[in-house]
Amino acid sequence: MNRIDLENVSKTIRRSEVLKNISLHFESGRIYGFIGRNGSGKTMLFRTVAGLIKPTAGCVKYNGQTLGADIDIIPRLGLVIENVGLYPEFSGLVNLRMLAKINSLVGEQEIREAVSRVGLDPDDRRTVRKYSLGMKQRIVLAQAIMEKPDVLILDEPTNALDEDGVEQIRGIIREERERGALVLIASHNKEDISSLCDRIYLMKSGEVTEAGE
Amino acid sequence: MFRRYAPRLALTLLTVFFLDLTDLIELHKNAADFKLNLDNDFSRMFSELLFGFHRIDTGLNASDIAQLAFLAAAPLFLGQSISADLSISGTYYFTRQNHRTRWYVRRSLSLLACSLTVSLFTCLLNAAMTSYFDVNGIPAARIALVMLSVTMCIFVLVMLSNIIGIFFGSVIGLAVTVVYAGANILLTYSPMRQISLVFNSAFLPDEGYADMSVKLGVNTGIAAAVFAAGLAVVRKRELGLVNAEQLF
Repeated sequence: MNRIDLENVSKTIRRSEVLKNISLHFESGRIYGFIGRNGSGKTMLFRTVAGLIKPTAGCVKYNGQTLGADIDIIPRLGLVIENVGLYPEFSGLVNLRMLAKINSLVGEQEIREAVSRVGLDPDDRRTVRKYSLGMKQRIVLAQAIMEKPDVLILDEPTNALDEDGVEQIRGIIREERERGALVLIASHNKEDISSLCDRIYLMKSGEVTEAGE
Repeated sequence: MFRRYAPRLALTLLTVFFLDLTDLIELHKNAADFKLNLDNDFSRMFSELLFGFHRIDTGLNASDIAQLAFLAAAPLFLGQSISADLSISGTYYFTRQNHRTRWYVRRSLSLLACSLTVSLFTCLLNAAMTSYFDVNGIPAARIALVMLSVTMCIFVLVMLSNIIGIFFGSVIGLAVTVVYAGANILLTYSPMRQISLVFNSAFLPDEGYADMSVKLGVNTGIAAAVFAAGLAVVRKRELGLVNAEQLF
């Protein structure tokens, strides 16, 4: 059982407090949803949990180990973050191969499976630069799930996808939960959140204001 | 990783080749004058070929602009490699492995190898052009010294562009690097020329091996300082916070 604990996490950027004293805990095998308006702090919270940025105050713990002190990153983390991407000059498969090589947890077969699973053709030789927005979203999701991570952090995972694509991604997220992954999702799509999540948090101005099952 | 930079390196070499080609045309047009003035001064001819034909009495001229183009070529094509990797793919890389120092060292070594390739290509091209004009041979020691200095200088410019690019985006990174190189070219002909850090001032004809070695040492020191500054930036950089490319 994996567990993430946020203890009084605050983050200030350029004198603006973007996260305010947030304390939450998450457990594996469950999906946690975050809703809120643009700029409410969802993405910043996810980046803090992922260890990409350090909280100004408080700490994030993974299985009792503090990020930034005991460990630098959550081991076996799958991440989809908006506004960051893959190398545009390579195909999706080549990008995934390069990332998979870092830890060598999966081989060619698993990488190709992940690409197929999100509805893309592993043999498509087009570069990521030539992908549509929806295809980029799918390949980024493939990089997140290809190594069967213990923790999945998905920021707007269904952005730019058509209806079939949204349903397919929802299916994948459910399968990941069944596998035992701890999943955090932020989405503007209320249906995503209501149909997928075991627990829902509402964020407003850097604070978690409400929670519901 | 070096292979990843191959297309950009090829573009750099192509640019250098065309810049040298303009030198060759200039030489052909004025072959008699150059033979007369440079026949007994092969080192000067080599330097002139490498850095453009200068007229010291008139200060900045067209050849300086050609030299600036030569200096800008490597930062133009290679000056975004580390900064773009960090802002684009660093997020997915560093959520898998947090060995930022190793990542940075590997990329820096690749860029150093690219700088050495550009330098080697330039020096060999110019050595060939010099021999084509049938001037005396150039001492290998001098070529080696020139090549190392050019390597260090290109490396400094490429790393500078990358480090500034991490904060402000690649356009600003390149712009600052070109201004830095341009300021140094201007300094070459001023009374303060000893503080000019680009390599050309090291190869003015009245300077000998000792001065060149000092310049090489200074440029190596600057390269080490820029490398260390880059390492500090990369290690402390918060990822995914702001994509610098979106600022402008």
